[in-house]
Amino acid sequence: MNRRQFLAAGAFAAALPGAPDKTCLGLVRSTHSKLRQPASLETELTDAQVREMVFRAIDLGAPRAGSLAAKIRPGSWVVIKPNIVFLRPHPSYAIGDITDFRVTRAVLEYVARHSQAGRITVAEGGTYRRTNDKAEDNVVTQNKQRVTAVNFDWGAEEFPGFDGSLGGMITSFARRFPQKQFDYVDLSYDAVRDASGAFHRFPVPQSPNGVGAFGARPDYFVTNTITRCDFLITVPVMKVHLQSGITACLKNYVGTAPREAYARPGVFHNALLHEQHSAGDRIDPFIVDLASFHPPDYCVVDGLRGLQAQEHSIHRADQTVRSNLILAGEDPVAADSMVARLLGFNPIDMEFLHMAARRQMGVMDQTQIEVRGDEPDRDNRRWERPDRWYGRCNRHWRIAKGSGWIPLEAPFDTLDLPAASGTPPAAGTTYTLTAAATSPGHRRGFLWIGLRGKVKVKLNGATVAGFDSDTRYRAAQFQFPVVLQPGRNQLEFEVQPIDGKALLSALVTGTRNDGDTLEGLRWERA
Amino acid sequence: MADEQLRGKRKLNESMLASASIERTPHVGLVTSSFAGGKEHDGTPITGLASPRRVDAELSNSELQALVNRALDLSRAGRRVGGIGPEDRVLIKIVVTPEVSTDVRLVGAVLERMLAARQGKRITIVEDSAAPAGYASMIAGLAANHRSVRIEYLNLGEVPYITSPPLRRTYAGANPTGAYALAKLFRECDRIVTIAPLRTSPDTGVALSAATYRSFASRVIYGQQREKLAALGDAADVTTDLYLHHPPDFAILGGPLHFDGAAVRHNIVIAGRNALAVDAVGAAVMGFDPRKIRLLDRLEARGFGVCDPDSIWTHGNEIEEARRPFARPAGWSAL
Repeated sequence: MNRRQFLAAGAFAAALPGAPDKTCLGLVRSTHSKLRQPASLETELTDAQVREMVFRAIDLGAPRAGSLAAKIRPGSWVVIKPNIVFLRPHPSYAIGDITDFRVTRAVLEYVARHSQAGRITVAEGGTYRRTNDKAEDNVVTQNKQRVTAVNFDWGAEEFPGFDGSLGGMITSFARRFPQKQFDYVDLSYDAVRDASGAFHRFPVPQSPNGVGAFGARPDYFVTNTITRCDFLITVPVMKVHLQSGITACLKNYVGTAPREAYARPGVFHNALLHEQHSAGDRIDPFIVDLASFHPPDYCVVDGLRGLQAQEHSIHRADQTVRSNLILAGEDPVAADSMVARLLGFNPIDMEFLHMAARRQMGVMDQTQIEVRGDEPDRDNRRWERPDRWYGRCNRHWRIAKGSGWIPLEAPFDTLDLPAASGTPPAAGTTYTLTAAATSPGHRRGFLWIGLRGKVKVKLNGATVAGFDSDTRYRAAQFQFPVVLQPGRNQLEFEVQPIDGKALLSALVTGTRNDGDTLEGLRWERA
Repeated sequence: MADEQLRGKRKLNESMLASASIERTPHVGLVTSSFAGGKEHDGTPITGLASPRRVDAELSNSELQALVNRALDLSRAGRRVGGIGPEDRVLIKIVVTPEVSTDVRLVGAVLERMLAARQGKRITIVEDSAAPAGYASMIAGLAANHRSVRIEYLNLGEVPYITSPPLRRTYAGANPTGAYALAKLFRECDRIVTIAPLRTSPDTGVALSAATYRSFASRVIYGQQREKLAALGDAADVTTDLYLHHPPDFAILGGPLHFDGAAVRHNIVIAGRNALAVDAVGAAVMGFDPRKIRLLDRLEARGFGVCDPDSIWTHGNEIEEARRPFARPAGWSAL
């Protein structure tokens, strides 16, 4: 860009009234001073309070188009995708497992009231069979009638102020806004089929910068609704997740994978999605791949009540965490990055955020996110981690090859050294690698290593570990205390294979030694 | 009454036919040396031991091995103990005290079963003491027949330790950071199997699988008897904190000899994947109400399973058949 173009761009940006330079999120806690009835973060909220919080968060988290209503083109088909993975009778359901229906209703009302959408659909695919499904597993009954998400009666206590069913809510909106069409789609049974009626797979679309699928298998079964709608609003509940760390806007897309295509007989769960598309021992690749078929046009996160430790009930009374907040914005990467922070995680540990950022779905750098409304760091808690949690391991390595070094960016946490170096394991083979991390200051922490083989590890020239492991490989299995100097720190690894295998991963945690990457630490690109 | 209030109080009978994979009832194998056979709750016959013996009889090695194998079979763990894979690093936590210790033959029988099923690549037997008599020869014998597996004994008092954070909320009131100095191999292993005799304790009422976890705390930091752990909070809370780092993947209680202030001979093996359920059955066999034992009650409240014997599916002997009341430890009181 030359000087003339630079000045012209600046003048154009300045001419847009209120156009945000950064991606913008609206964050509203129940304590927000401009609410009509502010309430403590511990208080059970009324429907009116939730509604006002949602409306305010959406107004504060305005998209670049100026407002959510302005971004929705007249006559659009808008899909609202909450998380309704379970209905109450599921043995692993607990309050905080699914999106609060008061939040879904408020989003629905906002769109119905303020936009010129022509059709508004609530869509979800959860662990429950539709009523005409002949399978006998995962059948939910209520008062002896088979039910599904649309007609399950939640009663008046689960979500105070919401009484009844999702279907009843939709019908009520249809009456209030007769000029608009309202409906529900069960995404579990909405797979795109070919002319013969068979389920049809589609390759993950390439992003504008040429990034394609991350999953082990690059073509997916998808639904008609998600691929064909004009505008998609993801409305997740924020929770801790066993595999991806957190679940919110992007992880919500797992509910868009049609179970009729991805479930094994007898178990109404996306087992084949996990089997076919996981990669690097992670589910993150298919989370982002699924989102790529129609990235969120807008996000509203239910942060009223969520689950810690893992995403479904482990039958502990202290698992449900009340936060009484709503987060909204058009950037799902920024929103999920903020959710990670609100749950006390380090956002850079979320693999799927890196992948989504690579696809240009949004920004995960917190310095590039403008939060309007409430201060994110106030009233934060550290939510309980899942068992054996570890953050994203280093990806930037230099491997000794001949007389030189090869820079390498590992696609996943673990480096398979024979494959990565191109040197087959043989007697006496030693793989030598380095990685460099920048520390914001003098820091104590722990080096977590996953290893198959025999290793010597040096940090800034001093030996910090030497051991061997021939048992099952697990990323981040071994832990050693380390002291980092301000600025650049160099790690050196000498790995000898055992039984022809040499696998390595590395992560540096802080003094809490809880699996989170040390705050402020950045791995250098090789 | 307003419509809203009527609706709020309406009765909603709900149910779900969940996937077959969702089965939350803990299964525990419970076998005494006198077990001659029985029936499951649904009437399915259960084969007894080939040579039933009195519960206070001295058992031969083969009889003890048969007893262990029957209990493991009935624990619903299948041929594989505790989901252990062929490449796993396994810790087998035993108990060694001046009064009573885990019977080395029991450990040998479990190891033989694991090795036959190709479970574990490195198996480390650990306790807070040097290897008791019999372990070296038992390990040497097994290692000779299974050269691809590393079998060893390590003294927990001498292994490196590492400061480890709470994985979830911690409970010991006087440990504000929640972190503990723990044996490094405790944090690094893939699977843990506990094998303990039945014991009473003046501190905890019964000292079974969960109670053995105190010796995973560093002797260097917490003292020879881990006495400094007492400064961190209530014993049940501290033990819960240690336990939650990695609850047992499989728990085995029993053997021929036990302790209630005096030696108790009672040939029994109790085994299962949920250590809390195994401990609850063990306590019930000892004549205690597990729900009145603070540690077990706390573990149940904190989500580690159930301790109500009525909620546990025992296979083999009934608890009443196997019961052998132990003397209440002096100074201990039930909840």
